[in-house]
Amino acid sequence: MTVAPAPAAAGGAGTQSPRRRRRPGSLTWPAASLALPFAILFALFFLAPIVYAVIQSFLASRSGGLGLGPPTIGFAGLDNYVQVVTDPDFGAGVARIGLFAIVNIPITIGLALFFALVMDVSSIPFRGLFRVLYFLPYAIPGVVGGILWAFLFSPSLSPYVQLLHAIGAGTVDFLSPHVVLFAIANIVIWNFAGYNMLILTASLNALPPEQFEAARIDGCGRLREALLIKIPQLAPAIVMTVLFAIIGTLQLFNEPLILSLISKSVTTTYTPNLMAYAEAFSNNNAYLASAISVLLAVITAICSAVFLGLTRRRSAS
Amino acid sequence: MRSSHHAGRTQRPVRSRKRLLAIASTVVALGLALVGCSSGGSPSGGATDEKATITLWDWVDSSKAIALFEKSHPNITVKLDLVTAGAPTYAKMFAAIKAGNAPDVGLVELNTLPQFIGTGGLLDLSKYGANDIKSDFLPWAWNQVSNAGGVYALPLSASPIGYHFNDDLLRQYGITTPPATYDELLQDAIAYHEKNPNGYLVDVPPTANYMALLTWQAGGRLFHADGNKWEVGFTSPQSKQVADYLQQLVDAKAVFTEAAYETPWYQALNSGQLASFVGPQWADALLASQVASQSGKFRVATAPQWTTGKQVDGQEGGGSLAVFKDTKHPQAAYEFVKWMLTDPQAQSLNYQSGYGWPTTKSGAKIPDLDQSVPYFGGQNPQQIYQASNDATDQSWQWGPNYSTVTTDFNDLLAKALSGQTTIWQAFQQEQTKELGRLKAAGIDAVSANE
Repeated sequence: MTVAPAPAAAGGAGTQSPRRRRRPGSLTWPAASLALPFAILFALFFLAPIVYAVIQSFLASRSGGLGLGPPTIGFAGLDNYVQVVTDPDFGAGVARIGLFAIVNIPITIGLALFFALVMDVSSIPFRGLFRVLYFLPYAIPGVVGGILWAFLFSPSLSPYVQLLHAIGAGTVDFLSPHVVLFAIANIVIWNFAGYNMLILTASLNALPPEQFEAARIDGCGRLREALLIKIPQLAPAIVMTVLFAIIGTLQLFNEPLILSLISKSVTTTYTPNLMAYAEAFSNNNAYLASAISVLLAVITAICSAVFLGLTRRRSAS
Repeated sequence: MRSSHHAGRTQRPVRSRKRLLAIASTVVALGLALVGCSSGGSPSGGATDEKATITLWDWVDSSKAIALFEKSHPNITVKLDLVTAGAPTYAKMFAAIKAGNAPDVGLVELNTLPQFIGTGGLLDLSKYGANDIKSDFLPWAWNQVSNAGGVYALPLSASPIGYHFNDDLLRQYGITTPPATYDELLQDAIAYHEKNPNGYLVDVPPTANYMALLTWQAGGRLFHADGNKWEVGFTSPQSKQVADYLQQLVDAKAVFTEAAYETPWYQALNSGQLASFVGPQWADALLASQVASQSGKFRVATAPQWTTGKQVDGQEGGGSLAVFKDTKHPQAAYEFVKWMLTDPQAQSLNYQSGYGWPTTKSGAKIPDLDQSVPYFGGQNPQQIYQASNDATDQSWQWGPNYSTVTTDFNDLLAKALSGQTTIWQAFQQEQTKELGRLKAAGIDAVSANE
């Protein structure tokens, strides 16, 4: 396989006029060959898996009778998608991560913003140390963090349960059906607040310092400085962190997977990602799993686009 | 930071997107072609005197038997891969079958074997002489691994059941004879929990395996092949009986409801929080290793019955050794499997290593089946298991997708046992779900109640 020569370059091959005008975007041979390594890797490791997943999502393994003969794998049209969309567990999973996002994202980003702004005040002692401490959970792999928290939530081991019991708050079960989602939110916030804080801190550091001097001369206090000068200029960075948080939330997987080992409330269909995992690996149905994954990707793209659209319209008006 | 964030919006040249796409799609096509031709390669017949190395995926340490095999079969080397028990390994096996790099031999439980047969990934052993040794095996065990199409594995182990109880605890709370029926178990469980509010007499694990066992004992059928279609019976009268019975235990809050054979369950047995369970013979090896603190206190009795005075048992687990289709040494692999299951010494070692109850006629005579066991206070529990094996309802069949049933039904049971639904609702929902699953897979199935 080779790269097709660029038509513009081919057209001018004979004339070689020095004043030949080339379209600004067109590829020349050297340029194309420079892009080739990227194009190949991009196609192999980025496009190919996506295309493969989409193809898989339109296939199905079918066997007749008792299902004990070798199956045939064939085109199934939209069957997989229909099966996913009509499965109440999928809808429940999507609703669950929707609720999760509504609770989790404002708290995560709110905390991150708060920490970033407070740590931006130069009179706070040990700022560097605190920044590292807040960021530390992100340095711990998600699965390890999940296991750590699983012990803190497990009814028989949790010091929190014992503490609450000791002060007469009764027996709190962090893993019961209506509480476990917030237990998961707790883990995710712990894991990601510091990471988002660091992004916002970097953004704060990039703001020109002169304006703060000017503000201070005009009698602006720390709080007003944060609310009226820093936050508005941080808006693009906040938008980005929220966008990442939306994408991350919709792909929720590690934390519920770990908690499912100790809680009856976390099922194999708890989030769409878990559902795809169970279909692929417990049920040996990679085709249905692909359909779930593609739908999840579409939902993620729509949510991201809607969010970006809303924020852009806001900033435009 | 801010400027870069806006950069993408200002100008995005519509360059050679088409060309890029063309490049990309060609590369993708190449990639797919590569994926497509990775499988294949026909197995060569090969005599047993050919040098062969075969890989075994197994979660019971069978290294002693393997060493013995290698001594008597110097040309065959067996590489044992100790894998995780059950579901995680099945996931790997399913993927390996697709990728064409499955091991030569694998341990597959009898309940999941039909799903593996349905992938077309298992070797038909009748072509290598399996039917010649058919008469060595108990007939029902043979039925579990074969159908009209062929012999897809050799039955490795049965798993008769018993009532395993911590005699010290039971006596301490006034239970001197183990419950003979499920009614007695219910009354004992409630009385026990009243006297010992921090402890439970028995468990109700939220697992399909347990529901299958109790339904089997009650004479119900979750699956029954009727001609060329399956009758699915999660909502049979027997299942209703099982569900309502267990619901009484759960409503009385008199049972331990975590999954069996997992860490919290072992913890509960070690700490004395859980005093007994109805379970398979292979639990003996697990008790000895995982619940060592209660050694000498446990005893085994006949499992509780649904009908007084009439023993009908089911089984929980039971395994087979299957040869995967992509093996390069089918004859050697079959030779190994056959030896493992029929050699008298191997059968004895298999029992000791915890595979389960022998499925061969000669297996009943191995000395291990008549021994006092220190863990059970010197009791000889094998008589109980042998009686249970004999009393097993042998018409039970496993459906074509038990691994999927486990996923779905375990979820539904987890909801039921955490109080979100009832156990009977879990059975009903599983019936609907399973019929849909089979239909989607193109398998013919009807509700058994119609």
